[in-house]
Amino acid sequence: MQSSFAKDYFDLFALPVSYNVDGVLLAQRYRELQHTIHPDKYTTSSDQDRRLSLQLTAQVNEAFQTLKNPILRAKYLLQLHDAVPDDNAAMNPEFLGEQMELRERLADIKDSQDKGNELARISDDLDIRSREIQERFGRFFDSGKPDDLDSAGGIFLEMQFIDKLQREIAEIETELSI
Amino acid sequence: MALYQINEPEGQQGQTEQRRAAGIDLGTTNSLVATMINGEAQTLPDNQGGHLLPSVVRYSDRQSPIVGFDAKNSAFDDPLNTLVSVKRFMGRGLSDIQKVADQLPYEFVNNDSGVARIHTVAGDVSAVEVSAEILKILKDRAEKCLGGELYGVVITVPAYFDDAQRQATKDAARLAGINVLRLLNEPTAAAVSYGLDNKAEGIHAVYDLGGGTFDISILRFSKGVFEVLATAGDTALGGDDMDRMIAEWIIQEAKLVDKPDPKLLRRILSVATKAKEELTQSNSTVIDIQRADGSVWHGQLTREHLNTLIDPLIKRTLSPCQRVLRDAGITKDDIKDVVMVGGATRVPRVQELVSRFFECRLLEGIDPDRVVAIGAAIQADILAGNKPDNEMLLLDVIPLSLGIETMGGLVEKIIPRNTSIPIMKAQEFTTYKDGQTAMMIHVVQGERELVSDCRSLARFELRGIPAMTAGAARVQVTYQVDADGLLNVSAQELTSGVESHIEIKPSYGLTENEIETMLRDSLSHAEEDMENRQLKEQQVDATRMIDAVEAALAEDGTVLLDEQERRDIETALEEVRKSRQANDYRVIKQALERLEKVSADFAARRMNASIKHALSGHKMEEFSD
Repeated sequence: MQSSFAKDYFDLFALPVSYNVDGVLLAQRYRELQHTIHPDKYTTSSDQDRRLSLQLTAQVNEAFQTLKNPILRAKYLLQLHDAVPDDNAAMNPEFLGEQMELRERLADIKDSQDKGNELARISDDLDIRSREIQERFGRFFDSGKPDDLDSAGGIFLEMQFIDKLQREIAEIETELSI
Repeated sequence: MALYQINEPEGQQGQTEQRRAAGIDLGTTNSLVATMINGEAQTLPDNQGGHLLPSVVRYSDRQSPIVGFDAKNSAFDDPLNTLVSVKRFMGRGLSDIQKVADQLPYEFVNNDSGVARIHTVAGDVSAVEVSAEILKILKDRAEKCLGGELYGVVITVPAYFDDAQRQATKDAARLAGINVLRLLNEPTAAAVSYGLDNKAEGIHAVYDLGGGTFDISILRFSKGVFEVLATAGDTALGGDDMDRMIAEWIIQEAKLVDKPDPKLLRRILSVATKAKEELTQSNSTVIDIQRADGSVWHGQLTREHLNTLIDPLIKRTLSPCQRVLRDAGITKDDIKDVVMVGGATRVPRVQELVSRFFECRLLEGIDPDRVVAIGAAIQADILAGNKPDNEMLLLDVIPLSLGIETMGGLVEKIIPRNTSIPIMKAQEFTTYKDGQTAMMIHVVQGERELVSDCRSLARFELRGIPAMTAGAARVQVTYQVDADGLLNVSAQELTSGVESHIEIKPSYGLTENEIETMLRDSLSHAEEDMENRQLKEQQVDATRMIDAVEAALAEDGTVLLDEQERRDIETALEEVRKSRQANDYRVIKQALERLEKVSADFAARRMNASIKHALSGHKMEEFSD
């Protein structure tokens, strides 16, 4: 954060630093903050106040988007602890094997007679995996032990993999449906 | 009135003078202005009682431009000087327009600047200047109705407008002498009109098919906050295109020449529009067209055949609909209803295909032509400060990703589409040569990976980087998108703290100098008028600042300031009050800058305190945990 308005994104929303964020509470406090600082509340104020409101709202938006998104939130937490793993860090071979398998299934879809359903099956599998990984990240990160923090870093890399696949699938689904 | 204002700093008693505000829907085919009358937002009529102002401007060599119905009627006789649908050219270059230019009866002018200009008897004009003429009429209409000068205006733009198109709209307002309170996205404005009536909590879609633009937005309405979840669209697709499809069909059926002259083309387009409108009510319509040789063609167009003509166009709107659902992270089942906006949504086939796609109820209670202007007026009233207790808040998004050009003509995304605005992102660069003092950043907007497939917005040339060895400088570039969806770029060298000077070369926009020149040209006694204008602007700024600081001191002066700080601010404040009497804008400006400097900390402390206050209850809870 560039300013002194808050220690970190969690502090800004008066939430405890944890991977498990109460989404309803976050959205509610986001709205409360916006009611106080949004540029629409300062259209008749001085240039100075308008600039401040703009900067602050930009920060609140950035913070909200980061905390709302499970992957950005994981990355931000690791950043706070200076524990973001290298992109080239070694990954669990088992996980990589599973990813290869999923990628093959995805590649085979082009020739499939039943594209829509096969895609939906892969997508469902990934959703389950993704929830499981997030849950695991939360458990390790929130334990607070240094070893667990390292493990959380590894889990974060897996999270990114799954997310990339999910986005590709969404892309294909959109193409198919039109 | 002036005395009243001085005696009563704004917002303190809650009974300040209502500020005159209006909402303007600057449309492709028609424009409207609306304002609050007896607590209700209403569109304003002209002398004849019509609310729509055709977005048509006719230029002549004898008099000032004619706007509206009279201009529209002359489109047949004087097609070259009668400009219609210029919204399509806003923020666009000649190369973009070339694609449709063949079907338009205008003479486009080739010049160095990226901005397309059209040749008329009154000289070459850009879409920005044409739009300014339309805005002036609407401003005038509102001022007559409200009995005085407007404090500010909300102007609506298609949600899918990019930065260049938004900037062009704001430039047009500036030329028209309008203080823009906010550029508001059309679908969001429509949602405001409906939201207040229905108090409908939940997720809504807004399908907005206007004369020349298409928008689809997904909004969540919850506890007074409209939050745009995602938006998509096509800024070159609308009811005009339906007319063109019909016109092509007429040309073919009537065996007219391949490229009719401008006058005949205008007439065919007008007949096509009429046919489309009639077919919203009846199942078939008769078409008569007089050929160049005087003979007449009689034809008949059925609704069924119209549907086959326009189906490809309507289907083009459905793929953004699909994308917007994905971007919002929702499914069709989550959507409560679809708000229908824009004249083209009167076409029965559009309603049929849209309700089939979303599988839910269509909302059409408010006239689709007026709903946007009405929403804009409601928001303008709030932004002008007339409703201090109002809880409504609009949170919008950026429609297209912003990125910069990197090595090999690739785009690096800086701000992804559908990010809530305002937003700020910073990036660090370094120099690659010893003693390098300048650097160029090319900003583009779009979703594709190659720069050539995205829209070029501007080239920012940073100058004044302190000379250092290669790789030593740390230049932080900050990209800021404000609540109007407009981009600002600033840069600073971090090791020295030196702020870079930035020169902006917009790819398809007017430069600051060009606008200044246009402003000068529009005034009869240029030099003198410019001085007066600047003086007036500074006086307004000064009054605003005085009011704001006075109110701030009264509220928080004792709590947040020590005696010395308070005295410093009061001294600077007095200087500004005195400077207002001087007839020199430079004096006022200097005094204002001083006041801003001494009160900067105070302003930041106040903002901080208000945040703490907003969340104070929650912080307490945590302590007790």
